[in-house]
Amino acid sequence: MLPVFLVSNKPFTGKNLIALGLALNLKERGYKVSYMKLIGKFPYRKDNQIIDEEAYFIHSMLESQEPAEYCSPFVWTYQVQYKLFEGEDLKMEEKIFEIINNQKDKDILFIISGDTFFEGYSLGIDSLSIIKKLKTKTLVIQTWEGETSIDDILGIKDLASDNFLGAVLNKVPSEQYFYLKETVVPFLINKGVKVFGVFKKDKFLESVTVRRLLEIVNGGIVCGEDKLDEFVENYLVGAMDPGQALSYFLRVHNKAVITGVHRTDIQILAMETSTKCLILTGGLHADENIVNIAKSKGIPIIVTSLDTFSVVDRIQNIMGKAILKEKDKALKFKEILAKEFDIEGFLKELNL
Amino acid sequence: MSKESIEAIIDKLPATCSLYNPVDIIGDATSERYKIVLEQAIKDKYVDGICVILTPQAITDVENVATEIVRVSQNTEKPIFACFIGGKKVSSAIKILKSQQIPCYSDPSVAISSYKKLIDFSIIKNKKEPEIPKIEIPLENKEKVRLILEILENAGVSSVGEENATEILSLYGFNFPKKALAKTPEEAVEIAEKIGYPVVLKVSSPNILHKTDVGGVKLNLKNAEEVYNAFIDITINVKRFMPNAYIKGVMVYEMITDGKEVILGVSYDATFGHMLMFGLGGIYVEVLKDVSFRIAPLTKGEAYEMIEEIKGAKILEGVRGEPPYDKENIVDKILRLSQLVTDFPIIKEIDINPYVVKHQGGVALDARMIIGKL
Repeated sequence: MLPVFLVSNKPFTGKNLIALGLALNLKERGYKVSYMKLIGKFPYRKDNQIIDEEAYFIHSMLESQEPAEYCSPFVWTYQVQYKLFEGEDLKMEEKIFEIINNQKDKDILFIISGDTFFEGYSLGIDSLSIIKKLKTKTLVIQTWEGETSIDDILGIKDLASDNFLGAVLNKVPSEQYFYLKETVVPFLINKGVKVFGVFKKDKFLESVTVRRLLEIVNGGIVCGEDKLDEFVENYLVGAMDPGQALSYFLRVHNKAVITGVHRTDIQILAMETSTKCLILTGGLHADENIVNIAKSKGIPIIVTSLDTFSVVDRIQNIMGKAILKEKDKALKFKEILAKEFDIEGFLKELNL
Repeated sequence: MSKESIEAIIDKLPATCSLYNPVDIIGDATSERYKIVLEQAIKDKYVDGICVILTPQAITDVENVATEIVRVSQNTEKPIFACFIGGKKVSSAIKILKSQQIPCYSDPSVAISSYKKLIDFSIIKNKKEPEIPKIEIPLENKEKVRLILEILENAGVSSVGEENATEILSLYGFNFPKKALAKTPEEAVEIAEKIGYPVVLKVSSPNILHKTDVGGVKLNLKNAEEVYNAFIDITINVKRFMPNAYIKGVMVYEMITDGKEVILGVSYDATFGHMLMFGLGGIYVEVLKDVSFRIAPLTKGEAYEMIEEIKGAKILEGVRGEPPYDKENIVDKILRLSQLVTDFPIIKEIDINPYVVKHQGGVALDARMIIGKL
């Protein structure tokens, strides 16, 4: 069994999505694949066990028969934190070695690192320790945020030395895609870095569901309960004059419109454009006429007692930083990866 | 007018006159008739004030009537005012009245409502200054509150969290449910066993003001297993919704099961200063805005008025056969709040929501405070 370590030095670079896309493609080719997220941050309770929600989703997508804790050996919770500071030895290394040993029948095990190279150091499971101890093949997943983005790749290449596999550039703004392909990738190859794939920023993959918005604003759903799994790609605040609102709303698609519960003028205009849901702030009683229009158009209305600013603040924190838990996204990315990722080259590097 | 007065003037006036209130000396009256009635009215102990209404006819000697009113008014303490309707025809008479400080109106309804205000004013003026009850707070408690506020003020805190607010209010005689902080699920169970079931678990974190919004509250936990699980669920929820919040632990509270939820509060108004607020809790305050206000410091009577004034006051009297709730306790707590903000004006806002009033006594479940310079 070959462990492949997906690392990054920033959160939300797409390690889990790429691991899942790769795993699904390889599974289709007949490989036995498994997955493990070293440090979970989205605690989720499953049959009296606390595991990472995203890891568990990937575990289910891969239809793994192994125990759920194999995909998520460690999750940051208040209890773990408490035990750690009380000086308790959490024996993480032993646990991870045991899980790896129990999966010897697999061809590839994708291991996902913490958010940065040093995350997990106190537990002995930071990226550098794992590379050293497990001698895992290391693949850097890097989001493109300008030219300095290459530094993390070149740095980890030196640190991983013989175990360095290559890099993937993710979330590349579409206008810079060819620049990367024609200039940055050749530069990296010249420096000895294999680039297996360059992925454009994708609105759909960064979207969140109406259900997630409902959860994050701690709201109530007034209508459109059957549309909770629709994807919201953008959000707009409806605080302007109704005269200007329409042209503003027309420009943005698949959006959530956040506005005060009493701004019925804005609510009507929003529903005339591509709107996936209305989030009404500052009260729990939506206007009856608005609800009727929303029902007939199939647009969910979320009401929340939070003010507009707090709602925007909360949504801003999750947009593009959502954890992966939607099947539609996973399947779409599987297709994208099949096209954009050099699977043959990847397998060749691994001697598979 | 009294029977004696009527008898004294009846023969001096035409038979068509009406001598009952209002006295009508009919259209052709001259200043002589006005004089007869006015002189009698000021002598009559049943007459407290006089409003003379005049609409001139061809024979009316308006100036003489005005002069007569002025003359009579000089012989009495009773308020006399006039209402002369007739534009130019009465303008010279009005001048006479005004020069002698006799109020004159052109609309009887305005005249009468002005008179009503005069009566109201005299009632308020004669009211005895109500006594502000002094709530006895031990000196050492006051000193402790002063210290807490001083520390908060020096630290630049304006929004006082539940912990400090609870402590300050406890020192001023408020009851809170029994509680203790648990660091582990095992500790939570141990505390719950001591307090007695059912209990409530709430996350303790200075970063989380609205605990229910992040899944940080679990109610009505009836046994060790439920408490253990609730502890884990709460810490997981908070980690999911507010991963960066500092969690001190989970507070285990005694669960208050009966009683009515009310709201007690203080707000600060730039014109009126501290204002006490009272209302029924839950939907009553949010939807119906059924609350009452009074300016601090207030009297016991005013505190009672606050309770009686809200539309839902009857609920506290006990409906459908239940015994009444302890209004005396609410009054006591309103007065204590009044005393607290009078002693420490730096406290700008207090929100005790909910305060659970029982058939006897009451318990505050949650409290927040805002402090700041005047």
